[in-house]
Amino acid sequence: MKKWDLKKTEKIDKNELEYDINAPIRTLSAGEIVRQAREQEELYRFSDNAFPDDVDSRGKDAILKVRHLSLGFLSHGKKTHVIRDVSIDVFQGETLAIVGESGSGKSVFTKTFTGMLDSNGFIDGGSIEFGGKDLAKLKTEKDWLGIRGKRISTIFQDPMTSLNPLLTIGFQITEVLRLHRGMDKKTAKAEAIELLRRVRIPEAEKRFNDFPYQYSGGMRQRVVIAIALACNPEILICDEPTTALDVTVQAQIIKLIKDLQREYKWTVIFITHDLGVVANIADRVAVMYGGQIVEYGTAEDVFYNPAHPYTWALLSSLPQLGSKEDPLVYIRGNPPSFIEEIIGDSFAPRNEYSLKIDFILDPPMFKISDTHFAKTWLLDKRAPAVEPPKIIQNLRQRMQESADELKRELKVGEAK
Amino acid sequence: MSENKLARTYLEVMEEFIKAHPEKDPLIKFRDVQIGFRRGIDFRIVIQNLNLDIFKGEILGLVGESGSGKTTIGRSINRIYPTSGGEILYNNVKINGKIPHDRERNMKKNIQMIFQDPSASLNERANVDYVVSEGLRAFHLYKDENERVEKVVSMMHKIGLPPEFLKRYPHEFSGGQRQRIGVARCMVMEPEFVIADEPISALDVSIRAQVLNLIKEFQVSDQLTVLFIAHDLSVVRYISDRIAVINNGKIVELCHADRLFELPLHPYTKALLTAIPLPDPQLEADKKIVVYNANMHQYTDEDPADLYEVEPNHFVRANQAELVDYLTTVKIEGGKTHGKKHSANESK
Repeated sequence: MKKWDLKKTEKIDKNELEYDINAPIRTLSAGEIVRQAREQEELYRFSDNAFPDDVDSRGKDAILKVRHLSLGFLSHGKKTHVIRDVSIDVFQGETLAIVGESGSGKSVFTKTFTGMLDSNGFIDGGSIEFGGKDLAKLKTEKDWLGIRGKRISTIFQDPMTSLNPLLTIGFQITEVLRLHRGMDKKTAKAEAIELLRRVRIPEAEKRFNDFPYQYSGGMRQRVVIAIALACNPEILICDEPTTALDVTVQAQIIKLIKDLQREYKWTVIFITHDLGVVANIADRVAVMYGGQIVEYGTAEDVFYNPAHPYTWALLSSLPQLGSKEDPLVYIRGNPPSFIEEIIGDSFAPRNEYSLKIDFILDPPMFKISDTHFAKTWLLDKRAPAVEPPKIIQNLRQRMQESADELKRELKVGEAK
Repeated sequence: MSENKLARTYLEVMEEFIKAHPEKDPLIKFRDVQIGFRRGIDFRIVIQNLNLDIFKGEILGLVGESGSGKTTIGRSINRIYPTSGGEILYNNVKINGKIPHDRERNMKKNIQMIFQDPSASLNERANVDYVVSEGLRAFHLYKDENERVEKVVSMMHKIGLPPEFLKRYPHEFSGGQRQRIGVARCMVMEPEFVIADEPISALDVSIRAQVLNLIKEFQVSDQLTVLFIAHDLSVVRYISDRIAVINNGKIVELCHADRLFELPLHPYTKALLTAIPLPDPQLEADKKIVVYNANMHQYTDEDPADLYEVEPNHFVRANQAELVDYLTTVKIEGGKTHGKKHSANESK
């Protein structure tokens, strides 16, 4: 196979691209060649099924349109790029789950929707279209007032830190009602108690004047949901709302969010690091890694037919799928540090399936079906055929079997 | 023993077992342990009449929601929380309450702990070398400096971190690496028994497996006995040999890990089982969550609840009425799953 000369701008025959699954890229000289290769955007055109520039909307109403968003932070006089060219649509009334490890940029990404970036953060490209406005262009606090909390609300991970420990639960809910909906004290109180009831807090009147420390973790998270509920927002961002909670409480909170979403027709963006959690709630799943969305599709697409090696790794590391005989699978190495410039596919150094090209060129989005997209060179026509790890093949069937067994057991118990 | 007794209680079973197999004497024994906390003049009992045995070389999973007392039980073993009644025996020697100083010292060397939050449990101002060898220093477990370095370096190899990292500080590590350092600090003491108190709850799913695998490796290579505390049954199933489900300070079900998933009996266990999130959208869509309500049990003074053996090595907390139900369930369902398992094994 001929080595392709990237220094020249001449057209490159697409069949000459080298693919070698076993060869670590270290053998290829990095440096100058690699840097120039990145500039060769023409390479993208080689992929026949590479996804076009714009995101497919399937004729649905997109309530939030993110296009080519890039953002970064200034730290120690250095610019780091944490979100790199992300485009996605959030459809009216759906639940979009954003999944990724810590440090993948999932929280930072959604913070731009409510203007809550840290002061050293900056958006340096792209747009966020919402309600006829470009949120990426909003600068002052005044601009954000009508949107943050009112139209886009956020539920944070730790309910203890998002509630003020010195103020009563009642005050913190009525504050929102009085500020955003202009209620007087009395009606606000009645409404707040109603809200507490909605989020299934028993004896809401009695607990109205309690302080956050008197509530358990799950109850606190319910209160935070009630506050989010107060303004009846169009979009609710749940930033790891169940990570600090027990499994039983987690199941209840997820169910609550799901029920309320049906009732209020919210659009929910659900952020988590646990792919196992979102199967219940998500209509669509976007997997994030290294500041980019590497795969997205409907929940069925991503769980039953995952295409990106990172999604494979995330799925196979779930302890629910582990068997006692073999050690559990985990993702080796660390997420990329944003301090250095990332060349090629950011997942490549940790990827068992990485190809040579992964270390040179960032892959484009490939279209798998009308709803399913993934950003990996494995989907390129010339890439070698690769099987996903055994543990997630037949996931559907295996889960069905184990669930049938459990269901049978539970039924036996109930019948008694 | 009355004649019309349906099943034996946990204590009766254990007594008989130990008599029949003296060589399999449990490493840790809880006998009628009571743990309470004082707040002002108020004394609140959290754990009452706890009976539990941990055998040598096994991993016992202790599962329950927050506030169920699972951490309290773990911490009572190494004397972080004082007990207010009963006995905790380690190698048949009492280790709770007032004990001689040298026994306490010996116990503290042999019983080690892995904590939940790796960022909070490591000294931010000490480098890894110091963190790992602090226990060695305290117990003079090395002859000279060379031996100490040797021990620490070999431990770093075992946990899969290069020894160059010894000069680094905890904030320079990722969560998974930090928790591995926590494991190293514990294992360098060559303990006989380890209390792992939710060691993976604060970690990302993708790196949880590293720590789980590590604990399992140590159990196999060093004949380690582990009490593994967690709130998530799916994690515990993978790692433990036996699982004790605990609710409101009482053990409600105790059983082999796989059997617990095959035949859960207590309603609280079922609630925990249905709460495990499944990575499957269609199944999740029609899954019903069982919510446990503790008021469903009608325990009275005449018909009190106790931990009964419903089948060999499977204990459920029940009163006499519930016990009848559980026993019939085991009779109908127990045989079936046994048969199925058997045929599956044969086909292999």
